[in-house]
Amino acid sequence: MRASLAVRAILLMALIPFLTGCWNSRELKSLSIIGAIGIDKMPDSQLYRVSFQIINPSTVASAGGGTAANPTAMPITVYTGTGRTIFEAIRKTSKISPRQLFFSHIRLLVIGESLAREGVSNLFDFFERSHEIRLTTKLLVARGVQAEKLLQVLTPLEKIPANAAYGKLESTKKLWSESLDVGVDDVINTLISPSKQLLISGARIVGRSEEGGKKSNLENAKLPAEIEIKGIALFKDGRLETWLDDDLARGTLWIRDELKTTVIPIPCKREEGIAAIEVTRSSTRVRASMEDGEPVFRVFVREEGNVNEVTCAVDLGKKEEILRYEDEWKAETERQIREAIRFAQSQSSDILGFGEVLNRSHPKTWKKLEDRWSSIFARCKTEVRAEAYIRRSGMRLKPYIKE
Amino acid sequence: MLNEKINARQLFALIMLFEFGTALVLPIGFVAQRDVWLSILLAMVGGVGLYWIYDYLYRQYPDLNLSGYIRRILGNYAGWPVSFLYLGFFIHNDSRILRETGELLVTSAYDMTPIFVINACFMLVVIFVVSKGVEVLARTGEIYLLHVLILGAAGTIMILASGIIRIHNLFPMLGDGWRPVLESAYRNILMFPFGETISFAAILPSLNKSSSGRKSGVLALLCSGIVLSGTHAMEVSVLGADIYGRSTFPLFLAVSKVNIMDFIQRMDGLVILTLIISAFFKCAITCYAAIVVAADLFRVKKPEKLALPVGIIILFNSMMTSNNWPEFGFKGKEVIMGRLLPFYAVAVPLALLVVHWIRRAFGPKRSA
Repeated sequence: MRASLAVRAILLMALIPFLTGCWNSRELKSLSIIGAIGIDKMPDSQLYRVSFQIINPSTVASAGGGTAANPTAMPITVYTGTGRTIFEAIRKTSKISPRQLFFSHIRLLVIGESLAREGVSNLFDFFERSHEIRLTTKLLVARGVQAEKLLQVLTPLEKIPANAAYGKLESTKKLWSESLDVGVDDVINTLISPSKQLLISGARIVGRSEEGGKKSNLENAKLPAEIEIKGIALFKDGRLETWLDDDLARGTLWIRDELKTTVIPIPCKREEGIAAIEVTRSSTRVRASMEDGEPVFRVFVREEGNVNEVTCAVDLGKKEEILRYEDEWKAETERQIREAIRFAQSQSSDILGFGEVLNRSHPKTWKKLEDRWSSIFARCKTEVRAEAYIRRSGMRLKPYIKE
Repeated sequence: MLNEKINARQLFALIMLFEFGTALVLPIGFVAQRDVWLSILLAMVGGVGLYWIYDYLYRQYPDLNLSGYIRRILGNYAGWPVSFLYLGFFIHNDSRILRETGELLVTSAYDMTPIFVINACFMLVVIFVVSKGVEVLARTGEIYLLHVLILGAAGTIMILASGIIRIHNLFPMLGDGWRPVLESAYRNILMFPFGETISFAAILPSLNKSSSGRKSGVLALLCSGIVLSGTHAMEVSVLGADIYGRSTFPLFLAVSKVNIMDFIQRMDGLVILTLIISAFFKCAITCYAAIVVAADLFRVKKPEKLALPVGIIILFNSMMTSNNWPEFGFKGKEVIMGRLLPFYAVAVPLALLVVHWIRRAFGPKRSA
């Protein structure tokens, strides 16, 4: 029995509606694409205040010719909703948002400092449970300012501020290594870990924060308000305790083997002057061992770098000079790491991952120490050793500076 | 009894796809969590043992399927009810496979689509392929195994390339000793997905050479066990044991973390595709097992004719099996893995084996 061509054609046509995809189709024009979410706590209440940085597509999307369709409009708008849960706040925002909020493209999750100080332990369930939000979303703590304010700051070059802040975080992490990027899953893995304490990079507004949300912010060559990635927030049991800055931040990242490249200034021997050494490679190993029933941690760093600038007369062609710089550099590395350890111990907060190291190498001992880990960590013995190698010195050996 | 024939390679493909089924994407670690990969490998040994029993029974009665030899071994009066129980078991198990797939799709991608619609679409295709017979199913399987392997290889390469693997998440190995590892392996993973291969007792009689069943079957189990173990080790090392254990759909999460140069990202579609393909085969094979048993019990000449009625029962049963996902998961762990699978996949086949040996040793010589 062969169906005629017409019948078969009709049957084929009948299949077309099944190809259209999902049930609840949401057209692009009915969605508000969110670049970043900010979470604050309303003062004196249990309500969260959740802000959404919504991308205005007409300023970003190019209309054929390569320029944005509407380049003069505001690139973003910030909506804010309140609620006892994040999800409630999100849905409540529908009262002011003309389109449904769409979360798949969130790059940043910004937590206000006051909320961070109250505690963030229970904040992340929604971000883990929702299928729209990707685990690749990065976290920042808004330093000394509400997350809502931080989301409003307009940025040049990168029109979408979420992308701008994300770009800053990524590039400073790579070039300066005093920040780290932490995803939602890292936070959760740290919060549930009995051994590790949470670290999240900070971002603050430099300048007059009330100017940040105005269009006029972009009309200055030097921005009145700018977002700066600054320092690392140290949490203890989910509460922000203090900030790690400069060398402490770098030392901490060094121990966690998260240092990519950075610059270490080494003073010259005789006169005033400094050699700037670029650390190009660095790897850290932490080993735990038990000595007299106490855990001892050995941190070993092996680093390579180049001399990229010298402001004193020194002949880098001589082996002794290079060796001297290597020694100094090694000492400086060890100092920064020791300071970071000392600081973490003074906070009795294992931000360095020592507990995990112990768990991996001595799981049985770890089981016994687990419950009182932070007090053991605070007084455990550590040894730091670095090996540093200067490989080359750029396009010159001797600087033009004469003695 | 069946004229359709499949070859050893096709059997290999079917078993591989069947084992991947939903086991590839669900967190099957249970109490072992971090050492789940070890549990899978251990369970695989037992899985091969179980398969050996199924294959041995099939070899004794090469032209009979499961219900056929149950009745031959136990006699018609005892055998018929036992076979009938198997029919119920296959239908129920298939409903669960269907429901599981639907739930995963709704959770991860189709959040507002009624699950019945997804299940119905899915079952429609399953009914179609099953009504075409095992040969068509096997040939489709051959083609799609290649698809799944390519998807899997692509996913693995991308996860490796984006550098999100944290190998230290797998340590300390055996942090809590062997107990949880063995418990997961032999209480859970041996049953799901390895014990479920009992469905193949209905497929084996379609082999063109009865001797090829053991070799390609065991090979398929070993390969799929290794792939499963590797995949779950990767999931744990990307997500950490805790997130892995708590999530509904860990492979999806792991792949959604892929981000290479801010360009290759959002690859979770691959996982959905893999899930749909492999779950489709698992569902179709179990459905086929159900109709073969039903046809044998009710003396239907062409089992394919039963595809529609049995398929519709499976579809509606899949909706009734549980009220919600947590209940579904609980039943899966306690009832299916705890009671039904040990009974249907281990106890009954073992009993059949023993009865068979006793009858052969003491019974009158039968002329085959």
